[in-house]
Amino acid sequence: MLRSENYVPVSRRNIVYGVIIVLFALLIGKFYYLQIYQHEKYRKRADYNRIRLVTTHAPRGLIFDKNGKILAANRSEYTISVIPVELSQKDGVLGRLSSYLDLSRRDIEKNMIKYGRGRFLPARICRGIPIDRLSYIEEHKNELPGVMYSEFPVRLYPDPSSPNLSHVLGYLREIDKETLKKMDGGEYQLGDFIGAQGIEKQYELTLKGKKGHLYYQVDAMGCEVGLVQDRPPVIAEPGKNITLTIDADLQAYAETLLNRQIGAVVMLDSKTGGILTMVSKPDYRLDNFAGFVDNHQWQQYLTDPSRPLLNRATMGLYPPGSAMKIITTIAALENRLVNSNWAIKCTGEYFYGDRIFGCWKPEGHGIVNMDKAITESCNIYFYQLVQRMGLNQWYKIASQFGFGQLTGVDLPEDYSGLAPDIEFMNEKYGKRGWTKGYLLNIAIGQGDVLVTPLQMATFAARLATKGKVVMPRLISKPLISESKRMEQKVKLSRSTWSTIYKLMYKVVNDPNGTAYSSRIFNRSVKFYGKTGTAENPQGKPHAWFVGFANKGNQSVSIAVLIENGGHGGESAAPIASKMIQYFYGINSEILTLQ
Amino acid sequence: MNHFVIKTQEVPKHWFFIALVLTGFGLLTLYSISYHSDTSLLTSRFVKQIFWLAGGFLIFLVTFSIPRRIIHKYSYLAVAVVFIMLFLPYITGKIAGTYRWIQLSGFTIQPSELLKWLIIIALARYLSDHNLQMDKFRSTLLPITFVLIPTAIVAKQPDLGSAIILFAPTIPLLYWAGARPLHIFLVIAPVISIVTAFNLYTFSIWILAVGVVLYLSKLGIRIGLINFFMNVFIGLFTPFLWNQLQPYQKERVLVLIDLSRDPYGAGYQLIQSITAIGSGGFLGKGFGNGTQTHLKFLPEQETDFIFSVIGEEFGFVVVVLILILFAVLIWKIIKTSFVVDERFSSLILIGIATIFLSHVFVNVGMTVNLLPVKGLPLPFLSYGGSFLISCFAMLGLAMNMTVEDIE
Repeated sequence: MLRSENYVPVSRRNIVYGVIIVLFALLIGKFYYLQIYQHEKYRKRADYNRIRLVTTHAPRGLIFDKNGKILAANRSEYTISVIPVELSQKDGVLGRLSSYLDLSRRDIEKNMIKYGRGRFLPARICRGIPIDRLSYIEEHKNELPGVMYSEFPVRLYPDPSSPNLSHVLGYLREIDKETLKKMDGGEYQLGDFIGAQGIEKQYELTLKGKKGHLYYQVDAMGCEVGLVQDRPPVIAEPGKNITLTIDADLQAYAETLLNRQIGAVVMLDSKTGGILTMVSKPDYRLDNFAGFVDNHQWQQYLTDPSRPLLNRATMGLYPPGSAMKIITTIAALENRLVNSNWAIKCTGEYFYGDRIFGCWKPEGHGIVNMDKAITESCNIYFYQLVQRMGLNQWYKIASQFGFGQLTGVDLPEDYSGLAPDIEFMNEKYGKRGWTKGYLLNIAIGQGDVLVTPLQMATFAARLATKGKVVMPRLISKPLISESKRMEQKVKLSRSTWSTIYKLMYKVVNDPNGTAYSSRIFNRSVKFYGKTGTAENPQGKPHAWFVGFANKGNQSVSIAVLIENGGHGGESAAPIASKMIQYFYGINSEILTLQ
Repeated sequence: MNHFVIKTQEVPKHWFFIALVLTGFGLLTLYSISYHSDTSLLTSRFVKQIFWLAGGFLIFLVTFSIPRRIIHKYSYLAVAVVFIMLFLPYITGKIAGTYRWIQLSGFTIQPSELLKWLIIIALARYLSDHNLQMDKFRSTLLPITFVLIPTAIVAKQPDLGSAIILFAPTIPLLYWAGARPLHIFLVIAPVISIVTAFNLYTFSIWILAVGVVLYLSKLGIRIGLINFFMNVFIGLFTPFLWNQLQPYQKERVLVLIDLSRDPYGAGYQLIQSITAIGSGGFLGKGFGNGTQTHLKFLPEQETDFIFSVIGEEFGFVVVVLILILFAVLIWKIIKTSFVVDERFSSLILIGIATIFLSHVFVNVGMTVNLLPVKGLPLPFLSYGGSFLISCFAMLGLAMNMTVEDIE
């Protein structure tokens, strides 16, 4: 049986040989392709598999006031994240996590979607983890593959007695998906904080620092098995510190002075433009924004009709009222339209065309010269004065003092307000749609003129320095371009300056002056100012005071606005006066005694 | 005993040496895997494999020394017994959801593993005993039908991989025995019709090719037409049959078509395997340094994907070395099969070469995504007792066939 002869043709053997060669060539070829030709690609992919990049967040730079007092610092918050791709036993892990964190399973999954950045990157599911809970989770690390925790610095406002400074420092917001898309990512990740207002926004790049990285080796279950040897960690670099021109004590005092009133106070160092105080009321506690802000609270801030998030000092647009009469006066003097002795008779009413324009004093001021017109703030005088003036003559002076211009303050919130010129009027009302009658309103700071409190303070500082183009700023070291611009001057004749100084001095120090009750008794302080009462169709007029006070070599400028505060001399001027006395260290109680 | 000594002097001893080197690489790899493992070395698969290796040597001695006529005489009986054993798992119960293993107190037996080479012996006997007229189509069809029965049962266990290996040697055996290529083509054609049926374009080209071959074959118009329309019919019917497949079987075929379709399903294993191999590069990451392996990204690393571990840790150089060793072994077996002067031995040799070749090609091809995942181990290297023993049994059998029986 075993004797059947073996005969296989050579061709058949060769075909079988051929098949073997082809099959092995195929295998070796494929290995060559993968291991030599595409080696780099797969080397990276293997690294990507095993290396978990953990971001260490940089603490933001600290913010100090001018005296070195800390306004904003940092504290650590712990967050828990999960890496979706490593959640091999999703149900078990999330269930355990839910009980450890006291967070419902639904919330965890909701956050996983909200903060999800793809399967391979951690999605934050919980933050502000107390340390005892964190250590418990750390102990049970092995039951929680794919779960990681990290430290996250959040803002701390260390001194509860320090001023709110809400709008100056500004709050931070968590970056959401839409914002991230708009910003085109960069170094930011979902859930990072970014300055949303004030200094925090303006100096975001300076303050934010640089993130660090740790490279962990992870296994297929998502458990960390130590640091990667050949990749040294990158240490996070804290943001740079910032020192402001703000005087925290003065700021706190101003905040208490405004108390529950709605309004704004801005006080500058007249010579440098450094902002000593900037208050906008109502404001909010920055503590509420440190770390997680729940949506409910955020909505409350957004929908509050008094708009606490709005920085009224830089974004509040108000008619300046009588304070603008200074501009009108300067324009008249500089263009030699009248001399300082020119006088009119105020009967309390002024007829122009078919309209009656009234003075704030219905019985009239009688014979009014320039002195009296400013000191007692007579409207009729200015109605008549402006008849001699072209709109652009007025506009030229107004813009030189910063009206209708951005102040250039180092805040993202900076409004230019509105100072109308001929072009503007032509555009708004049509070339023949407006008459000189409109100028009557503009001359007394009504009508189309709109200013911000910061512009008013800047205006005061330019007056105080006799025309130095002062730019307000918050950071203690100005940029070079700014200092250059401050070398320019608003050039007015000497007589104009002395007239304006005399008039503004009288407003505060003459018994007939509108701000006489706010005068300062200390002789070493020279206090100049002008009140304003801005008509407001919605209710009581807004009260203004703008002025400056010199003592020796020092000079500070101030603008106070109280919404619906009535007469400027009654509600705005006293605050300015108290601020100046506080600044110069004069005990204001003496004032009340006398 | 004297016979045995004479026998050992005549056999190609380097076959055994190649097998030893391959097993050595397998052990080295298993040692590397256990190196960073939490379990102690003594209970590791490395040590277990050494234990299995001892069993392998024992079986090798048996299959090597049994006289050929005894093998010849009892081959049908052996196949019959093991064929019946295929049904035992339906009595002893499922293991891991399949009917592949028979549970005997403490250990398991996989009958299909034995059947692989017993079928070859039986086929060899069938094709050598009878003075078959191999140019008749009947002579090709009958053995195929005979093999298809256990193949279908194994496929139903389900164990598609083993079923394919069970069937694979039949074609070369028939070819070796002198079957006409046309007949083999006619048998294989329906299979290709099934594969191409999923794409109208490739199916049209294939059917056209079938038509041309049939036209040139001078088969006679009636048989030609029957064959042609049978293929068309099968092709059209396949999509319907496809829906009868197990989801995992569908998945495994589909993954071949698109690697990244589901990184967590069957594709995950492939992606990790390719990543391991590709990242190994020319010289590999070094013993015990494969991150894909030791961080457990690579699945089934001791069995199905052991070659990916070698690719990652030892690199292209060792990969090529091992493939060449396999190629040399298979080449030598075929060469011997060509020169032995007796048909039964020759057929057994070509059958065993085919089993080794299909195991190597399917397993290694799977690790680099040339073929769908089939769950086939790599001869001599993969961890697993039955298979290692089976490999040495086949090696012993093959070496047995190289020398004349000493009566």
